[in-house]
Amino acid sequence: MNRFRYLKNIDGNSDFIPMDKFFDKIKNTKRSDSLKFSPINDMMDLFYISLMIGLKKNIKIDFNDTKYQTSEMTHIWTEGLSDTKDLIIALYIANVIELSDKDYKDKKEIQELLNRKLGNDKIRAISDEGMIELHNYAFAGYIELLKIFDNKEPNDLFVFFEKIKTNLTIN
Amino acid sequence: MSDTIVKILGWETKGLRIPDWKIDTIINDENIALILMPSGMGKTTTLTLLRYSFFDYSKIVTRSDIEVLQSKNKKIKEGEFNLKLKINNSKIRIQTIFNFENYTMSYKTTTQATEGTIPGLKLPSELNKYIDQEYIEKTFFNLELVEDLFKSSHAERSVRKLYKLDYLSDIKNLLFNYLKEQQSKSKAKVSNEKVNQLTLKISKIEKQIDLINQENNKNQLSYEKLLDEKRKLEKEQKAIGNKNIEIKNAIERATAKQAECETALSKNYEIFFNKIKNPMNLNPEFRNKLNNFVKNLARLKIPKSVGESFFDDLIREEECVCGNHMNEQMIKKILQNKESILSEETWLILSNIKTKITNNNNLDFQDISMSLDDISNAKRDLNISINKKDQIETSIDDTKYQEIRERLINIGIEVRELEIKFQEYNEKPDKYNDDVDAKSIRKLQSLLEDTRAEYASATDTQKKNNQVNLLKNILNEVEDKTLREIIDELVKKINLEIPRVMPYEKILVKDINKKIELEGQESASQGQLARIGYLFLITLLNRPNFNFPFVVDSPVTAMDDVSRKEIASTISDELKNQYIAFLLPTERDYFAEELQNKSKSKINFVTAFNTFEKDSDHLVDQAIKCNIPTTEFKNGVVGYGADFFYKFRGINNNE
Repeated sequence: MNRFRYLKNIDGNSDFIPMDKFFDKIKNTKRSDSLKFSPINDMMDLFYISLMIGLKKNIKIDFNDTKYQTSEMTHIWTEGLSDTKDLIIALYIANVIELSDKDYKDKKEIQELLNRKLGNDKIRAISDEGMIELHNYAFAGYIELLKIFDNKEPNDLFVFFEKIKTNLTIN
Repeated sequence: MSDTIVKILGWETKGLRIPDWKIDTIINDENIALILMPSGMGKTTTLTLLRYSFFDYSKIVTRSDIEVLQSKNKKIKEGEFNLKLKINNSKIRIQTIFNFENYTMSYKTTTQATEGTIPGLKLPSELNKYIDQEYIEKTFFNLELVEDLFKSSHAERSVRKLYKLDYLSDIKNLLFNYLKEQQSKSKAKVSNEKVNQLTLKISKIEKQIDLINQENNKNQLSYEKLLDEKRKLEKEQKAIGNKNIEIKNAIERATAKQAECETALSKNYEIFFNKIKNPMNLNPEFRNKLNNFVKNLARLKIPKSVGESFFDDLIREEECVCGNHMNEQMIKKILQNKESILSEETWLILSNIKTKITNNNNLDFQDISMSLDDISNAKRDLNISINKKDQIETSIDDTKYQEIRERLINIGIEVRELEIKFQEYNEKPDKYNDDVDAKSIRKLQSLLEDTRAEYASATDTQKKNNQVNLLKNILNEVEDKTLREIIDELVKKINLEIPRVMPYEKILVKDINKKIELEGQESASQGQLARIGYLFLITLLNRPNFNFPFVVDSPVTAMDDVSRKEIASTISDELKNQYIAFLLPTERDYFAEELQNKSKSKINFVTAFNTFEKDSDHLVDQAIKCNIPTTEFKNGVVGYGADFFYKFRGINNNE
């Protein structure tokens, strides 16, 4: 898996709002009265928010299921996420470890898992297997995000962030 | 090759909104005609009628285009405009007939060669290679629209059209048609059904490309018109606001406050999002999970790496470090264990992760809720500042000001809607782009290329497809290079003229990149734009072997006295073609005299006005004083000669 991807369609779900369409409603647009203040500049920002929701709720889809149609984005972490990428990966990997070994008992297993998920790409800092799993969380998180928005595109940036804050900060 | 010289001898109108009159532009071999008309008496209408006479607009005009020409006397069901031309030594008459019952137009042409009248617009063939709609619209030019050349893609489009670069696109289309023909003859490698599907897909994409291009052109025009209107209204609004210094200052203060609040709101959103982008700030659960991760890895002494090379070296040895002979079972075990030992890369990544978590944990937990409150406050401040500005504006007791305000709000909405459409039109294709109904030209072009390649593969015509694509690329390159050379040459010529036409201003044309770009400054005054626009048009329209009239409405609009004189010099020095200008009385000073002094050609001075306006008696009196016949036409007066031309005052005496 060379690049990060976004969820474009789900077969059999005609109500599905593609990530790029959703992104259009929150991204910085100089000429829009409300979106000219938006700090969101890249679709990876929406990917990040979705991933956090997926990890918080501990939900995943199966990336390899052909009903999920995806499209390519960047091949490395974007500038806007470069500072935080290590924490994102750590959160993902901690989640994975806790699912199989909550108390971190089996060192050997953990080391094997770390090797498998982190891989050998120093810049991206995550293996292909890890990437797929990260997408599983992010896409499930995005589907959850759509539910938070009653399956409608956001029409107010402040409300968008307010809902994100509520759903990500409250346990 | 001998020159083709076209001269407009004059015209007659009947049954139209402008008077039934006859205007001669050449009486005694003059190459310049200055036609003075008060405002609202048909200058622009005549310019439009002249355009209609040189290019067949009958299929293009709309009902409203014809409605504006209709006489106020609605009983008149037909109107006509008769243009007299001289092309080299032959005289020709073009009759444009307007039907006000079904709002259509038609043509009749009378030539000496055929010695009779034939239906349709039949200009001599030597004219057809030069004349098209773009040429006509630039040759019959309204200088009030000169700003168009400095925005959007007007200037480049004119160059492309006038230098016939569009022919290259026609060649490209012919090539693709040839390819299609060849492909239809070849034997398919796949099922007929698949071939039909691909054919249908290509045809759908091509149609969609045409459709969205048409829509985009239409949207571009609407957009430019809206921006134009916006600029004019803002200027008008400012002028009304400036009448009261207190209001002016209050609006300026409110505008500055609004800008300040906007910056604060952007900053607060940025701060909030930066906090959200740190998972350790999001919620205590994430923070605990990450701290737990670091703590447990430390407890397990992870990361601690053993170089992979150690294991690799070990299995190559005959003896293990423990002294035993290395057998296959041991090698297998070592390789297995190697998997569970952190690789060097994992170790490195993990070290970074641990450092990052530790560093972030040492920072205070940043309250996201507070940041959201800050956004809310900044939003409130912005709304207050907008309302305040709004209050000041609504309190201005001027109906016109309020009308402008409302219109500006609506223009803003319309402009934004169009901008969204432009954004969609230019959207980049993605790898999984397969939507034949896409609204993005880039997506469709990419899809067309891919589908054509697929079709070529299905019909086993890849070689021909590649050849056509190669030719297409060559033609694209030719088009780009040719356009570049033409533009460079035009810019060079214009810049040679500018110091003479605008001696006191340090301004030059930098480039024509879609629009005319100026050197060193992004904007210029209306007068500067008009003069540069003039030079652009004169340079663009001057063609070897083709001498065609240059007809201008409002030739020195918004120019000061120096500019008017310099434009007059440019016209007399540079323009070899017939020049006809429709002037307002306010444009006459400094321009007409200078043109008269500098021009080697004789000037035909024409003054015309209608007599169906309430105030026209005053104009008729002026004509009588100058011995101008006033009863020749039933609803208008046309007077010739410099005397009446210079003495004529418009409806307002200050004109």
